[in-house]
Amino acid sequence: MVTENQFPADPIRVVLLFLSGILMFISLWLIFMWAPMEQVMGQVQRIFYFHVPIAWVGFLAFSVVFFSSILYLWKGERHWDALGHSAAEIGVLFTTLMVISGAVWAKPVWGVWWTWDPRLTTSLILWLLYAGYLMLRAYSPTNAQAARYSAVLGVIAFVDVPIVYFAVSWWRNIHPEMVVGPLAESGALEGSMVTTLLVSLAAFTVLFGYMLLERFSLRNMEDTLGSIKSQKGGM
Amino acid sequence: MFRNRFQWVIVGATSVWLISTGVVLGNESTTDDFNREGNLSFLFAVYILTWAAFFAYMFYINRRQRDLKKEIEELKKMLEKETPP
Repeated sequence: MVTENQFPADPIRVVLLFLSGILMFISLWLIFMWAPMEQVMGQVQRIFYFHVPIAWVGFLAFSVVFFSSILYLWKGERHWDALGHSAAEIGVLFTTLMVISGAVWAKPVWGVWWTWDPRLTTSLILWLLYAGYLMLRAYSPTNAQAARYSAVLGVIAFVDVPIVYFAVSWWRNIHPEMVVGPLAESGALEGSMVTTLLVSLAAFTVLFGYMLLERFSLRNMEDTLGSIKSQKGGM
Repeated sequence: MFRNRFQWVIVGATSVWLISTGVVLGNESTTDDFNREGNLSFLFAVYILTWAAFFAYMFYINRRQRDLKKEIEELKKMLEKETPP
């Protein structure tokens, strides 16, 4: 049943929007004004402060898809499907940007836009898997089938996420090794660069939270509209 | 009417920007004559593209939310009229 003010401006969304704006502003200041220029690659290395957080958010989004898919298959509750769908769409957006930003960074540094390096190849496979997830949803005959099939794919496709992450350790190639995280060598990145990266990671994570809530709200509206239409058709 | 024209302006401007960026990047120096201070067009291409994508996506989400909200309200009114007292 549709009630008055069913879709109010959620205060959490407003807070997340302002917080991501402030963090983005600080992050941009740190990237361009504070972080030192990398000695080998020069100015173009500053792409790193966008490329890595974008990749991180892509992985985070697909983790949300994974857990939502499991919960949907287990409990069958519609909101888990809505959450997984919303996260997958945002994950595909971020993964697309990860691949593009990587290619634009590769051209001046490696001399090519693309090479079949294991990290790059597994990232492309990741993108294809989740683009397939969205296509499967779009072309499924019924909403129930779309939810069930995509939940299964959401669980299976997630296998590629750790493969992408560990690809640089398992198969050494042209892509640099990890410079942050538990598998990175200590001191691989200068202190101010780590700080800049962490602020950028926080900014993108908050932005992801905001985008996810907006997309989730849209998906709820789509479901509400669908139920009103079926109610109207049944009269 | 205005909204449709505005959409075409955005699509056109984005296409022109993407093509011109592609041409500039295609002519940029690469590892053969690597310049640490240079290659800024690559850096700005990534930042502009990322922000353009975020704004375009959020613009799409917000417009769709507004349209659906309107449609839901209209259908709700129709249902109320059709429902016998």
